[in-house]
Amino acid sequence: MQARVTAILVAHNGSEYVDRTLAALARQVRKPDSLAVVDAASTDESAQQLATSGASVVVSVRGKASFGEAVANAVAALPATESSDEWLWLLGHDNAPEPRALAELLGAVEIAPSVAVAGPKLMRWDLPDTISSYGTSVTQFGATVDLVVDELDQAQHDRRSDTLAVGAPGMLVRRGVWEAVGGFDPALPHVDSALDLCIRVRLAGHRIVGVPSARVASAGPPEEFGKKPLHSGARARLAREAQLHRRLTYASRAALPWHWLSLVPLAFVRAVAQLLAKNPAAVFGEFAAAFRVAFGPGVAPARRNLRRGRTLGWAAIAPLRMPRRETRELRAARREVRAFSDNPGPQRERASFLSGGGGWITLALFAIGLLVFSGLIGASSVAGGSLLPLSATIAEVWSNVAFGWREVGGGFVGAADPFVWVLASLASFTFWSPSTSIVVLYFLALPLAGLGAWWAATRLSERAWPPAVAAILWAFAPPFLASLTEGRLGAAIAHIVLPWLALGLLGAARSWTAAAASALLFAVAAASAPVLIPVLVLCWLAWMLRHPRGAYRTMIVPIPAVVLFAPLVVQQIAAGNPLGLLADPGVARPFAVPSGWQLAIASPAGEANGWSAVASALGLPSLAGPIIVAALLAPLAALAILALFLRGSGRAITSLIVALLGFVTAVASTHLAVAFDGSTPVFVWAGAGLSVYWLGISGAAVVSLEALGKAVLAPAMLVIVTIGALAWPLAASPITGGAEVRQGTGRLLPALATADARADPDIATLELIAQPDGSLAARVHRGAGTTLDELSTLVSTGGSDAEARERVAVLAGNLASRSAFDSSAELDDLGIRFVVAPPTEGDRAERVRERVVQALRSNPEFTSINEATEFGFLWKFEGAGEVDLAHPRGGALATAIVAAQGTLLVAIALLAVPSRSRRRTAVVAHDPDDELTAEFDEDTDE
Amino acid sequence: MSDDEIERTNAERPDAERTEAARPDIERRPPQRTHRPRGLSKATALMGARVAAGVIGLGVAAAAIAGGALLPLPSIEGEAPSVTVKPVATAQELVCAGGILRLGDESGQNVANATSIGRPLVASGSTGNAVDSGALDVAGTTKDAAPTTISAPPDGPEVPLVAASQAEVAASPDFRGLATASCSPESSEAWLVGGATTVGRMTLLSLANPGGVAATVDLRIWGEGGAVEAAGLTDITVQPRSQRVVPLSGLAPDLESPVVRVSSEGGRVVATLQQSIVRGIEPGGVEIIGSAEGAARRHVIPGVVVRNGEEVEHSIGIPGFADLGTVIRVLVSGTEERDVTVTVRPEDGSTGGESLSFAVDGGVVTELPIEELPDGGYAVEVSADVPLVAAVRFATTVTKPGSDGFRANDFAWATAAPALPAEALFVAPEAPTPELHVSNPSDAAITATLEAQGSAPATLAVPAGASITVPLAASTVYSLSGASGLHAAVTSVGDGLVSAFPVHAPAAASSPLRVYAQ
Repeated sequence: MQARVTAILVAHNGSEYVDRTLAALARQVRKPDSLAVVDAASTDESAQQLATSGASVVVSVRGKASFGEAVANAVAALPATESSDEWLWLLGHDNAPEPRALAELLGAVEIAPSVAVAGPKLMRWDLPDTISSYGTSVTQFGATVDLVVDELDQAQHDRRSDTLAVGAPGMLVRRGVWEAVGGFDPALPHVDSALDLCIRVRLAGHRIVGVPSARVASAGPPEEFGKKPLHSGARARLAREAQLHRRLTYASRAALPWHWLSLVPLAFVRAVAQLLAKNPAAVFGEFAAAFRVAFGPGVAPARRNLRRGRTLGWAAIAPLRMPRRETRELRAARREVRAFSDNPGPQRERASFLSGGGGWITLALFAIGLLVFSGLIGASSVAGGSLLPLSATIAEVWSNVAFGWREVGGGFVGAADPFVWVLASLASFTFWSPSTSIVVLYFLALPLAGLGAWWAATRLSERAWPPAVAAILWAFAPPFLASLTEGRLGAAIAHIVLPWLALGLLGAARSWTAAAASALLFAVAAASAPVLIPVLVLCWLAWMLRHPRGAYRTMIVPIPAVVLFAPLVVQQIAAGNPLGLLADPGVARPFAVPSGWQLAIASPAGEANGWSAVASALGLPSLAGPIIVAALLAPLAALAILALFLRGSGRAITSLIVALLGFVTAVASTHLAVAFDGSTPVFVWAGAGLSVYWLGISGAAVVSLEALGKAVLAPAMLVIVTIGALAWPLAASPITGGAEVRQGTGRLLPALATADARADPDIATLELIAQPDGSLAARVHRGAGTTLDELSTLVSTGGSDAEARERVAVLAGNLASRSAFDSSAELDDLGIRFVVAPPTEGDRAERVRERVVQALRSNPEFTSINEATEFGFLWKFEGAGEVDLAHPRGGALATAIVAAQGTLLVAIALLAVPSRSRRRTAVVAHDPDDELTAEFDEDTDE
Repeated sequence: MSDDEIERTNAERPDAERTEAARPDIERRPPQRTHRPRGLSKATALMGARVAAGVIGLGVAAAAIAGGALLPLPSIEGEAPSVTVKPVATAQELVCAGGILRLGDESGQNVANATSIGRPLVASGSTGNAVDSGALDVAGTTKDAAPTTISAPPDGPEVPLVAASQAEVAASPDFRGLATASCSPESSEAWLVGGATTVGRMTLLSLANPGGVAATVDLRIWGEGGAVEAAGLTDITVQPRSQRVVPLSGLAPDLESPVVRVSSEGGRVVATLQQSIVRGIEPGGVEIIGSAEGAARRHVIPGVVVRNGEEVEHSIGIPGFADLGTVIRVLVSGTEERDVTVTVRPEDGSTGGESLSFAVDGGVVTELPIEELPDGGYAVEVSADVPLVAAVRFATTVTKPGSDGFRANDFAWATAAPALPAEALFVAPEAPTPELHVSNPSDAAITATLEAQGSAPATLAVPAGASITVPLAASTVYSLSGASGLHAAVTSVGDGLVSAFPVHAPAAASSPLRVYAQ
């Protein structure tokens, strides 16, 4: 009996293909017996083109119909089955068959009656000698494997005929079987629809063959049928969704609940893996796919349909699955192909870490750092200046990163300073004793800064000298040393991070790892020294505009900072104090605001970087200090300016613009008093801005040294010697005792209060600090004292809850006066058990302190504990029993904020983990156009 | 971090050069040669561009540094949020000195304890609610002779003025005379100018602590020989709500002219001196001396009354009667000799009066006699160019008719009176012929209103630099308004009875305090 073939041609916005496809159909040596055309809601001329095809059945589908649905509609419109030997030939608008295609397909099915489906070899529409797809299989775990992808057709696959599945385009399927298994699964509109159909056909007891001699064109994968090309994230999502749908459909009834329950947890695991594989675009799809499959309506009908048509067990298709070893080999081979298609660029010579001197310089800086801060050896915390210990346990430190209840400022629910994240991360390195991490940081500060500068300089230089000079310039930078000796931890951390950030940003456009790492470093720098945010954002924007191709990677750089700052931004704006965002985190401590001249010689605290004291000790006039510093800086400045005249002046211009931005930031810092220490306005520490200034100057000097070639030695030595001399007073100050930082005792309050706080951590100590203007500052210290991680810029800038502050103020004001105020009720309410009046200086402050002392001494509710200690006078209040305070929590909002911040940071951190092998990284990184070279094994989770 | 290079960082650098630069042997070549073959003009252009960039760079750097250093850039300086806390008003509490005390009981035993010989009459009043009164714990004293506390609870945010005075007439073999005193608020520092510990002169220091916290009192005593060094001057504990009496003779015996500074820590005290004189067997008067104004460069002492002046002058010559004379007791701070100017003005509304200048040693108590004043009231002004404390002792004597020349003597101390605020309240004591002495040391006439509670107000016009005297009704509460800048005292003078006390300014409520809660 003659087989009867009905060709079903589906067009969806395919007017550019339809004519060629219709012509190809007409040229078939074995013409289909009838033609059914389906216009799947095309908006172009496809419908008109189809109308001229002379088809016997014309179907028009409204709405968003997929290929499968369109075919189903056409089959329904066909006349009823007349014989068992009736075949459907499924074609999309782009599936122009070669003249012998149908004949070959029919030839294959006629000799084997068990064959119900035959698929052609799909060739690329634009490259007719390249196989687009030929045969599909699944792994042992059910993941789809295309047996051939974009290979030049050299008849290498022509031996294969029996396959698990063939693609939908050009598929010849027996109509009876098609109807018996129920056609394509509506829940699989494109991806895997043919695979699923073929598996059901196999389970119904039929065979599927590929026919290599039948060739049909194809313009793209099924999910792009009639659509614009999809981006990688969407493709990954569709593939994953199809895979999960098939998994639930094929699963046995007993395994189904487990598979269902595993959907979302697996999505998490796979999201982490996708990040590690530098495939962030696929992360969202993992969750979307899991949720859509878990809660979509498609699985139940698909399972019913499968059960209805099935006659064989799963063992029937087992031999056709791809063995694991073969899968691995296939994937490895494809990776190789992709790698070889990249074009490795020329490698640059660069000083190596060990032979180029980086190691020696780091080691030397480590020794110098140890010597400079030798006073801290054996310390468990650093005190003095703006430093305070961290909370006693790492859990407490981490609990302070969350949006929620804060003890400072009378207590309020509010955002944490992003700097607390930095502190908590830092403290995790010495999790057994959080404060020790700051001691360790002090020892490692110089080598870390020098190392970062060394690495960054190797990007500008091919020789050994310029990076070495950069390392020394950066480690002995006066703003850095001033920040360290003054205990300005934020500015010091920002200084350490800046060269690493620059290094990361340079690679951010080409590598996800670099982009994510610089995103984290950007957040660290912004959180540690918020005044740098404008200049950091400017640099980031400039870099992104400079490298528009990698912009989608560079784009993520500010995201962690934005997420960390967001709650604080909202609160500060709500408090009408947006400039408060620029306040230095940590202790708001006033300092002598430097003049513009001092800033020009990179002296953030005035005093000409310690040279004023040296000059006055030598009996020189007061102007001698700045002049000495300027003279010592002259070689560096000359070198930096010289860079403009030498080779590489473009880089020099960039560097000097950075220096200018840094200088402007430093000048702006000294005109910006947004935080307060009691009544005293506290200006933003200029050290952070000066670090950027120094970065630019150092960069220009490195460019200059690089361009000097062989003549590098003399200027390099001159700069090293002068900067070493310049740094000497500041570097020596911790040894001579001139620096403010010193070993901490870890105690923040008088011993008695500390001891009582150990028994009852909820008790508080009220500190009444007489102010130089004759006012009083009141601080409530909960437990053993306010630690660095408990501080909030919301409080220091006056943006915290006004009511809570007023309550403390009223209590303090009345305690400091003869008053009929019911202070004992209020003290009990606030859990205050001690009042301490620290020593002060200045006439008016002394008078206020005297008033406080008199009032408290004549207050019968207080017992005077002891006379002057280092903490001042102390009084104890015998409150009613144990203090047990129930603080308002942040509620769901706080949880959501912490969860969002944590998730995002973890995601970025995973993305920053350099997970790819070095060889591949090296090769891939040379091609900026390479989209997503990361390979992610589909079935790692199964 | 991958090792890849920085790409096209240098826009000006041609690609050819970049490739060249990658070669290790670049250093052997002069840089210009890399631009061949037609590199000469290009190199020149490049050099020109670099020189231009360098010059511009230098200019920008100079401009930036000069701008940062010289431009008067505005500063954004916020103001720390603060709360001006007005302390909740406390009840004004005054302590009256209590009854006249003697050492030992009536039989002369038990001399360590002070016992009262009678009880004072206390009169009090306030501008607000009713006045509460109580008594302090004093061993050996009946409750009604113990120091009385007078308080007026605050009326909402308004603190009422409260005033009280006490008066006691003694007529026992050892004590005779009139002692009036105004009741005063506690303080942590008090100057007591008066008393003597020579033969027949007994001076008791009373320290009353009305508060809830024990007070630790330190004393400093100066005399005609300078500061007194003695054991027991420091760490005198006064228990809460009690009175402690310290005989001054125990600390500084045989002192003609003591000045005592009382300072307390912890609780605060009200310190008074009680001085009595017995000349031979003749009682010579009794007086309770309240705290004087603290050290200042100028003091005004109104209410110095000369009565029976001739007889007083006459008696001074009799041995033992020298201290009937009117003297100004002065203690000048420091150790150097200073000129002290004394102006004595009659209280008749005139601006007359004589000024005398004395050279006085610092750190030594000096008594400056004022002689031959006609009967009448006087205001004494004492000033120097360093802080000093001062008070005036005056006495009266009367020979009782038909008493064999037995004289009734009494003395009084007029202490420095404070400048009054706009509103002041005082109580005339239950004593004979009370009078108000008002002194205006300023350069402008002041018109005040005196109003006895329940009577019509009277206007007091005090010309600049003048003083006036106004008779008062005994045991009556007076309010003085518009009195800002005036100094006032209340005296009571009878036959052989005299006593005085200054009108105190109400204790200042705690001033508001600016608090920054952080």
